[in-house]
Amino acid sequence: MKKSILTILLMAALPSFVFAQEDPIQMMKLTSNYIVRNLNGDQVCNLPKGAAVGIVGVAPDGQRLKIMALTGPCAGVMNGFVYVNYLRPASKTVDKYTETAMVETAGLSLRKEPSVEDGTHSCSLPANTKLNIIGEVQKRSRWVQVEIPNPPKGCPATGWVSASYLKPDFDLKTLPVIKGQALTEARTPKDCTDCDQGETSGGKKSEVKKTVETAQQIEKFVNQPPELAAGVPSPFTEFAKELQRTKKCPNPKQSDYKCNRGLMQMPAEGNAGFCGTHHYTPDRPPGVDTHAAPHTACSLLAVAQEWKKTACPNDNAGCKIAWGDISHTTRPLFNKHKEHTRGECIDIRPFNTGSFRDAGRTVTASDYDRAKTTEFLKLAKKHGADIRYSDRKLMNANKDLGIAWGGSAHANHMHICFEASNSKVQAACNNLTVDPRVCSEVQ
Amino acid sequence: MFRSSVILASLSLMLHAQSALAVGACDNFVKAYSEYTQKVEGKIVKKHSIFEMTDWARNSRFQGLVLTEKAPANAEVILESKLSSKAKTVTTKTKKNTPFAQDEKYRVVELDLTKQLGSAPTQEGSYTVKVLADGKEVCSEKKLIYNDGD
Repeated sequence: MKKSILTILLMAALPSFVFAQEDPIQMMKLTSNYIVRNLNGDQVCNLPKGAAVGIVGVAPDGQRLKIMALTGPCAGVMNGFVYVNYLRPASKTVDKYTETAMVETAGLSLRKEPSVEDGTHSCSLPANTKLNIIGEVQKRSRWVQVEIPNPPKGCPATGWVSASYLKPDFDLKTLPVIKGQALTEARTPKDCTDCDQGETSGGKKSEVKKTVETAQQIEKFVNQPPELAAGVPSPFTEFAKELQRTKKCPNPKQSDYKCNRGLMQMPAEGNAGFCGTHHYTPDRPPGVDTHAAPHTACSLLAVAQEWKKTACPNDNAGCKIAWGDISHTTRPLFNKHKEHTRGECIDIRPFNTGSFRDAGRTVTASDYDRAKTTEFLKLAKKHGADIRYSDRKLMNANKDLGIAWGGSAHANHMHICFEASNSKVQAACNNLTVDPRVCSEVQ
Repeated sequence: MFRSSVILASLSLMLHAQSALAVGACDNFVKAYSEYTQKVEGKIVKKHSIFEMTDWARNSRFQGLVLTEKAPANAEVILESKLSSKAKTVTTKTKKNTPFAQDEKYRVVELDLTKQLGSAPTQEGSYTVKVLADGKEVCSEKKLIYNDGD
């Protein structure tokens, strides 16, 4: 009864809120059928692929958006969240919602067909050109058919572009951070340690507050004697020193090259990485591609240590973590890595069955170990990872991991990020306790 | 009876020899390898992996090629690469090979794959490895080159 009244009130109020206000609510479309959950992870309703929803806020983890649905089974639900990876910005065109995007890379080719073959090029699009997406096709990468509301001179109003060079026509930072769940059942501290009931805070101010909090946590950590910070006798002195040095170059001063852009070098000697991991195809000079933001460095150590202690103790097993690029000291953009600029992301190869092999493999390889890879992704998620990968079978069986589809480019590696906006990542350095028997490299 | 057995055995041998030399996947004759270091009881030791050739990308490139014991003694290896749809095909070939120091049943093919294919491909292309014996193609295998950066 209560829900029915709420639904009626909402349906009456939302359209005017969406379309009449000066700053209308952002609409987005679901990219797949989706089980909507509250912040506790409880299922609240289901939405079909293509459903348009209003976005009213962002969860404290920065990964889930609070939605409002006009119709359907989620209408009236006030505590539903959807992972941002399953949403694409949309705008109302005549009688329906159409996905929208902006050109990220200047000079992006608008093509007559979804192909890079000769004769398909129509014109080049400048950065920030707004596009309506009216069709798509998945080849080795995603191609989208676009309609250009204001086509640049010499460009037709429709065509095809590679989706890899587009960005959302939407900024998450403009959304208020939802710290609690209105109209939801009471939660125990165990269920929601980060949340306060019913609080909503302003977007940009919250971001600043979070950054300051993170900096304070790191400062607190590095100012402690290493023994105390690590929680064990004889802890990782060099790692702590490195954190200390990095503190003098406060992240995110990404332009400060003298201070390695605020990034710290992860321990690696040749291919031997921290905590029994393997670093494949290292760049030269050694270590230049192994730089991580302090909070990410702590997260990586925590994950690698737990993995070795609990799931993969054998140094010669196929489940040994093999990692490639993190970030570069002097080149924010290296190896065409757009998402490896801030030291928050790492590339990790899928695991193989049997003995460890220093070999690349895709998710279709005969030696691919899906079960072990799933187990690892669950551990990474537990530590606050944001994951991009391209194993449909794994993703379908583990929707709770919120893995973003990475196209054909991510069938041979997991792109895993530990971002400062995640509360678990923020706390990684404070919670880190290194076992020198497992992570001897960081002593 | 004896005569027909001999004929059958001869036919069988001929067919076997033909199938061994048939043009197709090269995995029997040439494989990829990587040498790496690992810390064992506090000391850095050299190790290696030998595996089926993979597509070539930042996260799945390898150090080089080795010939297997099944490869002809006088094998010539050709590496053809086309780094993008618009790029020209580059071909290198060699008959030189040296015993693989870490496992002498393999022979390292003296071709620099990283130099020819690039350490971080930015476009989509392909490479083909061919093994020849006495000028005749024993096998040919094509793999993709692609950009897996993000």
